[in-house]
Amino acid sequence: MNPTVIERNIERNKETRKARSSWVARVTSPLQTLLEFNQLAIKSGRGWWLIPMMGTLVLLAILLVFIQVIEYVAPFVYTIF
Amino acid sequence: MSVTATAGARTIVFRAFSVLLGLTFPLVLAELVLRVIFPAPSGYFAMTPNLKATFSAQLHAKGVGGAAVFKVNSMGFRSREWSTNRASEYRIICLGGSTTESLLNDQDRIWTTLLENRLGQLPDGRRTWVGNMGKAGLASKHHLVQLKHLDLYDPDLIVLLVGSSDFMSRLKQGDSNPTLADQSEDERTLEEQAFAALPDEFLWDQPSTWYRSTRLWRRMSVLFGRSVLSGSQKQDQYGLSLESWRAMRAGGKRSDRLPPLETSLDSYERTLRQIVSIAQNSGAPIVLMTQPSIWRAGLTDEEKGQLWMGGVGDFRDVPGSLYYEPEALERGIDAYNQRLLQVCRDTAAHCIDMAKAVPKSTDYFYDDEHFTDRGQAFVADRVAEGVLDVLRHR
Repeated sequence: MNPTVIERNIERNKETRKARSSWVARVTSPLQTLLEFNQLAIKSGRGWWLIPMMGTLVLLAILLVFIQVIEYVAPFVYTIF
Repeated sequence: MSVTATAGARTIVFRAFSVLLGLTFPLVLAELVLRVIFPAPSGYFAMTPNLKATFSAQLHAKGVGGAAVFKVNSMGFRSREWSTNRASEYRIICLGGSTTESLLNDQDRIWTTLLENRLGQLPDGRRTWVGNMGKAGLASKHHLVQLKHLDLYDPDLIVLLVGSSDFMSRLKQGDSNPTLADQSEDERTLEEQAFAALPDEFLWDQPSTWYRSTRLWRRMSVLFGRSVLSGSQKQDQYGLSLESWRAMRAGGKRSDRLPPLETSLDSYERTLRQIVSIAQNSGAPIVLMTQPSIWRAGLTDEEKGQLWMGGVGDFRDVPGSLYYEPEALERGIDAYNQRLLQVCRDTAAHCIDMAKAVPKSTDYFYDDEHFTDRGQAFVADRVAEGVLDVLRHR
């Protein structure tokens, strides 16, 4: 027997809710990690040595992304050596 | 008390070690990631392989057609792909600076492509392939380094248009240190300037400057080299950089007295002799070309307005820099050209005196020395004659 329009709508709503919750989870999970890191490094005082490492990693990541963009935007340089 | 002091010292050492490790580990990790994600090329590529760009600089480079395609093949040449059947092809590799690269001219209208079309199929049945390895700013010392890696491309003939960058590089140093032009640079630096992509070096190859062999250092150099230090050296899609460079020259000081060139000329001549020697040892004949330019006495104000080269120091960055008059520049480039002709006379290298052949007119140059489309065709005709002459004498 074919599902009615109402049954189909209910099913569709469930799928939308499921998709939305997984999207929210995807966005918030890194934040969750940051919160856990905050608890470990700062609040407990045991993981402070991780801070320079994290700082350097973040800085490097930003710089490397920037370099990739620059490389393809401006490869034509006229340098007089 | 001493137990507490020892424990305190141990804590300090441990913490210092932890911070050091915290700083070192990300750097090592980033280096490893870069090496995995961007594996080093196995060969030496003059330009970034498969790079493609389009320029529309016709408003600022008079005599250059619009929508100019710049397309690099998979081997790093501004050329079509070569044949997989090596025996069916006569390979000519053209080295040079910006006047070989011909950035603003369309790929189908640059002298290297036109040379390939002019030569077509040779009497022995082989089809000509011409590879353009030109790159703005490269001087004879860079071509010497490039030649050392040319065996990878197995050329049948090498063509070199040279002189301008050596001269510009000397002028840039001004009067202050005339021996600076003769100072040697390490080969790796020259390689990094001459090639857009090159194999990695082992860290222990240069013990004193090991850090320069790291991928991280090289990527960072690109960042600072291209975005921070060399803003005025960038060449844009519409040729607006030409206008700003011309404006700098227009507002600069003038001199008709060149700095001492002898040391630079001697160094230039020595390098050319080394280049000829390497080419001859590799079995490929070499054709050297003198550098043409528009510089002469009696340029009109309009023609002078097209010029931007021939300054001292960072003349494209520093307003009010010193620039040499066209008459002086003509004398200077002529001195470099005479040294090249002397090398040709003393060795078995073939020579084309292109400086003498190209008319000093804005029909042929859109600035000091870069060719209009008509200039490109003119040069291609002369080089084709020269190459055919080389083939007849073999």
